Amino acid sequence: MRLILKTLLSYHWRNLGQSLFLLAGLVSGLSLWVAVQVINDTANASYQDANQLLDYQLSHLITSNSEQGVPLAAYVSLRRAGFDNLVPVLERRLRSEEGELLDIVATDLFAIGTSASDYSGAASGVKGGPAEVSPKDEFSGEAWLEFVSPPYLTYVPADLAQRLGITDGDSIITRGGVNFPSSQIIAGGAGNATKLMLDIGAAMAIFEQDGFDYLAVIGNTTDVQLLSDQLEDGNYSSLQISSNTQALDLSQLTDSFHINLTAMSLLSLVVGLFIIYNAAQFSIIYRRGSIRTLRACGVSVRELAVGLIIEYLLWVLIGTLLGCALGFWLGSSLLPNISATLNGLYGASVATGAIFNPQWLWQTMAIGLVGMGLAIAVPMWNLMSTPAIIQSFSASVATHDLDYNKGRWFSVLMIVFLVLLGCGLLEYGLLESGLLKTNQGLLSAFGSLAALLFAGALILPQALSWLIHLVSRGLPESWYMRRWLMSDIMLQLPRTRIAFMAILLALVANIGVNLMVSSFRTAFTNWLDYRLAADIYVVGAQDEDFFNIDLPGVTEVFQTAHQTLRWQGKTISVRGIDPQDPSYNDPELFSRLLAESINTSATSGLLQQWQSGTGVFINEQMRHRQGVIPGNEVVLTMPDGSQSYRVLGTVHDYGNTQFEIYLPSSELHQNWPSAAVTGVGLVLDGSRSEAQVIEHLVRVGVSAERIRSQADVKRLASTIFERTFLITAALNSLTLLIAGISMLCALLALQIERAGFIGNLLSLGLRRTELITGMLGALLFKYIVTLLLALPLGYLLAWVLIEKINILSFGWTMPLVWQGQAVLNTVGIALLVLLASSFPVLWLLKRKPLRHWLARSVYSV
Amino acid sequence: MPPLLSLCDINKEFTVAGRRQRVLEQLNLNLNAHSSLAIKGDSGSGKSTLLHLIGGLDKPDSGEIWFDNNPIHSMGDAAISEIRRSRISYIFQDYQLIPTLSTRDNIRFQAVLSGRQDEVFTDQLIEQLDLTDSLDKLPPQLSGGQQQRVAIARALVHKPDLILADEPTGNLDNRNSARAIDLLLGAVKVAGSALIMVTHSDEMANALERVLTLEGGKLIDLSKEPIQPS
Repeated sequence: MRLILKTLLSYHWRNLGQSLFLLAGLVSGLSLWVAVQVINDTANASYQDANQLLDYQLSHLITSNSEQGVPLAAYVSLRRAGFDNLVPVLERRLRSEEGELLDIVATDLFAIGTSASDYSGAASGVKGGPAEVSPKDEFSGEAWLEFVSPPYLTYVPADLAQRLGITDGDSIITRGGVNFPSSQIIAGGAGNATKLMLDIGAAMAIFEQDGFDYLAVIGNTTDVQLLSDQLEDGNYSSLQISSNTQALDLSQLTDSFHINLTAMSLLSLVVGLFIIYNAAQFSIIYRRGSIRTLRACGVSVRELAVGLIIEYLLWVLIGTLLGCALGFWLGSSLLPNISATLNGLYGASVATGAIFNPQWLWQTMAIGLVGMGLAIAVPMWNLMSTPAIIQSFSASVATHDLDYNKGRWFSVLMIVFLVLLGCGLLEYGLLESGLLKTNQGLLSAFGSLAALLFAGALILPQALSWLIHLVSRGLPESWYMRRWLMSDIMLQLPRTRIAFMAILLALVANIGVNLMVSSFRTAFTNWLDYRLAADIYVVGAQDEDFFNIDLPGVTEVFQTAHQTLRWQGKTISVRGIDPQDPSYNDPELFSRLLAESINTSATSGLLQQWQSGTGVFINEQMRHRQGVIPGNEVVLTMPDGSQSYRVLGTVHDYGNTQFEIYLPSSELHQNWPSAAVTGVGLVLDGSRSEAQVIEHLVRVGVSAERIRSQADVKRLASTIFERTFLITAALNSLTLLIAGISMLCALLALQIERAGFIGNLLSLGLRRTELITGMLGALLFKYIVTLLLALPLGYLLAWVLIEKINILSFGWTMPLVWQGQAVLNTVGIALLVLLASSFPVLWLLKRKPLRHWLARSVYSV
Repeated sequence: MPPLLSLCDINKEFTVAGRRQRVLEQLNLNLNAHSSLAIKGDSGSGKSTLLHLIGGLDKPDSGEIWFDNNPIHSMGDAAISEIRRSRISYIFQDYQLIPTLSTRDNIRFQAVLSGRQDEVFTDQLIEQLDLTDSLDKLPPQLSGGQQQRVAIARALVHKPDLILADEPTGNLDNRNSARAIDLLLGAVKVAGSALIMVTHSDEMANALERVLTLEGGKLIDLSKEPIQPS
């Protein structure tokens, strides 16, 4: 067996370039898969961190309805009542001077120490007392004292420090001028590896807070009912206890985003499998002569099959290792971008340092084995089932063509099956769209897309074959060369059809996603213009703050406020909109925001109803992900009961993943007196520039940290938007590149197979330029047919992405806009990829002497 | 002493352009050990098919092929492969060397595969076939004559009982053909093998002990009557 294996492997040793294609197919397909696993797993680990404080599990949270948060007195009282497992927490999200988002968590380490000593779920080594409060070294001894005593320390996880470019002793300064205590880099462990940590005392001083954001209940030993009773008895009616579901919420919220990523990686994997298929077949075709010789020399079919299987197992092993390494690097490189996207979209903190999961090795190897198995199944079956002497001649082009015709009925049946399956799944998905089963709907939508795409891929060779026959019949007898060219295209079809199927899939994916992104960009940009009616926003301010301030250049001041509620088990935000807000005041402007309503013909009437407080508007997320439609009633809980509101309409709310209900601000404050004011919007009269007004605001005492200009908001929103689709665009481009490699592989195989034939044509006197023209013509003909099929499929993909997957993923709708430029870009890039992939083959055709072609024929039959 | 090879009532058909075409019909043949036989015939008369059937590369539609009491016609692939790797060798017109192995490895390949490595004999063959200077070259770097000599060396290196040569000099000029045949016959004699050679050349055919012509699916001794079944 060693001898057989050595002989089989000698092919790869002597043809390193060709072997690299096989490896390229394996590695590129697998690495994208691994990269997405890196991203998804790291994100999931970060979501789990949300349920932890240091390394301690937070079972419940005590929060306050009031703007001041949980009062210090309540905390002290509860601790005195024996609830030692409570820890005060303050959290903030700010931007550094360089624009990096900073998540800050502040807590009382002493409280953690005494709390942890009482519960069994704490990390090992925790005995209680400041010196032993935590399993982390940096929290012991003098280091701990420096952390909790003025001038304090800021603990920065190593991963975050590297991202921020800071070292021990550096001080982080925010855009608003907040100066943190000097930094100490700590090892980035599991819990809170993405957050800056401060002592609670330091944070209260820095943020000028008297209370806490929440009290965390550490461990699971606390009697929640007892604590709840204590809250009521202690007259802390504004405090409420709830189980900590941050990780669950984040997982659910971001699930669709990760499913999208996985779907994209699967598409790349499928296209990668095309390369593996082509390259593996190519390696068998190239060795047909050797295989014949081996058989003639007495190597049995079984031995040959075992040898080939061992060889391909080696390939899978090498491909897996390289794919994992490249994928890990790729995932790590993309992670900061993904982290920023998830932060911008969902407010989720995701570590930018990738974690390695050994399980990926096995998963990747399994995928590689399946891919390689699919690729070599047919040639291996031919090898096993055909008598020895036939093997050397069976792979001739004519026989392949014959086989291909034999399989036509099977292809037609598969196409019909896949189309029916795709339509069925799509119909099921559409029915599901109004329900809560988001992921079920998403999976059905992706399933339908996969079925329809594969149906399209299977249609391609049939369509090509049919068109070649049609064109051939239409050519006049006298056009001998053209008729020969068409017959030659037909002969080449069996070898190139897989590569063109890969090009088709890549084209469809690119056209579809580009159409979706360009449609979204149009809708989003327009929406920002309508929605951001104010020129300047001041976060956390109340309009009363501005009554006594002279604001030259400001014509209107309106307030925004909100109240967070639980509704049907979900967290929703009820937003109070100032009647002065032009977006909800001007019927013309409002009609642009309105997605659907109970009565589309009279927007002004609708606004009047809303302003009277008899109805509410909801955002599209509630419409599509919770299934609430205009005309439905929503029952909202209030401090003193509940009230039912009629849903008057849904409004577009791009970039938001939260469920929101819009009420006039007066109605909000009346029903929820403790509703938090989120800020005010200032509309300028044009007499002063935005910068001048902002400068004036800062001069009169408004913190710059709280001021957002409309341009800033738009820029931030656009950045998040571009980031969101950057990863999609990157994966798509890689898919096109992989399809190009697949094409190159197929063309090289074809050329080697046809070397003798090419030699014969050259011997007959055919010029090389004629051969090259003919080959390019054949490629272009097939590309045009592929493109004609890709355009409707790409449009269909965009439609499903917008009408189905986008709604399920984000809860947004938008009109599908056919933008020629977006499609033309893709078509042009795909053509360039095709030409680039054919260049080496054409170059060989142009340069290699005739004897090369004639000699190669000896070894290629 | 029973014959080394015996073919009884062999029939073989192929489908060409949708029509059945009989290539071999009730064909019979006996061959003794250490003997040599030339088979002549027109192109397409079935000469190569006959060699493929004898070596078990293909199966007859009916009839029996016995090789030293082994029923080649009914044996499984593994058993036939075992015989082919140690007792029957092929020499093809287009040499069929393994292009990615050096001359040395191509020759040693069959010896290792059969488990019959005789270094002295191998060196003797290499010297006899004038391949000493070409041992590290790959087949594409050799001339046609050199490649055919490598193929002959590979076929003989394990001293098989039977060599099946399918127009071994078909791709060579007259001078190289004559040299190759001289070397082949000399090496066959040294190895003690029997030889069946398909050829168009009267000169080469006459260099062998017996000459038969394949015509109408049967082997005919043109100097006598058609061979009778054994």
